[in-house]
Amino acid sequence: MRNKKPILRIRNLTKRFGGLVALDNCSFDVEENAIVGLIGPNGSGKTTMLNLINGYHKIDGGYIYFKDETLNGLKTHQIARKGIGRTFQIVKVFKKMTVLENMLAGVPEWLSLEEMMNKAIELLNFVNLIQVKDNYAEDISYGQQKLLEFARALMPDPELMLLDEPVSGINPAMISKMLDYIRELRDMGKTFLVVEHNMPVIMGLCDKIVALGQGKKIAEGTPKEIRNDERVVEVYLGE
Amino acid sequence: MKLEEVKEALRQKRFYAALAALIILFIIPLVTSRPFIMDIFIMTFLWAFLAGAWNILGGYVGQFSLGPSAFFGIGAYTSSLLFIWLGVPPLLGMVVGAILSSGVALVISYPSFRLRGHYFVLITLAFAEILRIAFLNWRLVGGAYGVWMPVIHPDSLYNFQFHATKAPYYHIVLISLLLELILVYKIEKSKIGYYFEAIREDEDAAEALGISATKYKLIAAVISSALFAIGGTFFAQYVLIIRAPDIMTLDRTLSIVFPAIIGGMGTTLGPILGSFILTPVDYMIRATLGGLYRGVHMILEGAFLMVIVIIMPSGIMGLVKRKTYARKAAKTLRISLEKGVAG
Repeated sequence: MRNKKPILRIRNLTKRFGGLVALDNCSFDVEENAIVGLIGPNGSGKTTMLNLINGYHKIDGGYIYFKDETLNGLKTHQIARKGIGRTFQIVKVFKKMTVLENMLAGVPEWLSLEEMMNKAIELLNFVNLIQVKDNYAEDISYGQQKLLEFARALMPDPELMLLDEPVSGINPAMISKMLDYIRELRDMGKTFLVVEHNMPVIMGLCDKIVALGQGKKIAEGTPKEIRNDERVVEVYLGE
Repeated sequence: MKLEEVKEALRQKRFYAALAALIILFIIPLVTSRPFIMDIFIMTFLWAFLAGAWNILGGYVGQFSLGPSAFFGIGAYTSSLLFIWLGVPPLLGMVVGAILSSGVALVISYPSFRLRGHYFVLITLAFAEILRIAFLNWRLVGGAYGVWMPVIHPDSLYNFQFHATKAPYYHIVLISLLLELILVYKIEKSKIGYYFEAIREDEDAAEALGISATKYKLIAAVISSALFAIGGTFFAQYVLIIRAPDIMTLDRTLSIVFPAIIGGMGTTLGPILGSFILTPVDYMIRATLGGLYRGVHMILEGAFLMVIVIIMPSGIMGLVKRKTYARKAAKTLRISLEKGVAG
């Protein structure tokens, strides 16, 4: 693993929904320019973790630091402007807008449409959606929608991308494309925190993996370490 | 001819068609001065203007407000009362009304926008009803008797009253409609327009991109309510009698919302088209059948609305947009499938 300083630090993070403790005192780092995976069985708190980082849920305890600044108490759009992009488990494209319009909705307030038009086209070329740029987002395939959401999240040029199951529900050919895009962007300096169920994908993609079980961090390490970790195996397979 | 040239020619053609339509609309008052005809046109334009205002918040941002009658009323009452009490010229009163209306919209909207979907609709309806009942029982503003504007001579824009002919009203409302159209067009083509639509489509995804949903909803609410108030002042100066039970009702709100729905929410021309269909039909039905049974025109309108919503849920312009788009899109989708982009 590359030894770099953390861009995102999670410290003693706790989240409760009524009586249910969704996240319990979790701490870990996301190193700059790394691809960090977040794994765990259903209901272990992975999506809740992303929702806390991006401000969708309120934090009940603990802190989140992004580049030495705390994100506690900030709203979703404020966090986005600090440089954190996000995609969703169930794809959230703007259905009644065209693919290109989806991209242009991602133009930050302080930049002009004209300046960013080139970038939108460039990104659509990058994810190979340029042919469908004038189609309504609801008319393209689910896999294409996933790519669109991914490309759209790149429009404001975030330093950190939170990806919630980026390859779920798309075909194998597209999965390998998506993984290539992620790696390519990492090489260009971006950092990723990826939630994913697909074990071969996450093991092959990530520099580091954090495993959650019932809201607690149960392991952290390289893919190899995680694969051989007793607790992880136990949580996934039972005794 | 290349594709670009064809496009350019079409664009030119459309531009000249629009220009011709405009010139015809502007000279109609010279051709006919029959008050009934003038009245239909003026009300068609006014309702197009109001539906267009509703469309900004309701159509583009997707916040289905049932509160326009309240802001319409604020505009009508503000300019009328300022004139009667202080002799403020109605045009200035209109500006004050628009500012006041925006202010009220800000105060009401900020908490309301915490609610989504049906709850938002209900709170706007409740607000409009509260305001109607308040004005109805408020002695200072005339209560149920309302505000009766004195007839002022001579006809002038300063007095904002025209008795010799209705033509000036006609031109004022037509120009207002055109200005609104330009405003909406500019918004649609700007970043704000994309933010608006993104919020309508998925608020959470918009926020995750860095768009403050609350901020842009408030911007839309302020623009919409200012325009409602301007329409209210115009109506007050045209009818010269302002009564809350007439102008601040749900009925009034619906006649602002329906043209937008029928014409196509979230399209520039939809609300105008909707008003051009609904307002004259409403007049005709009322003129021919209104004396027969009370409310028969509303039954027919209701039936008409149901048919439209069933056969074209996105409105007339929505359907047109869809059709023209479908031809182009089918081709590009096929290419992308052939190239194996889809998954």
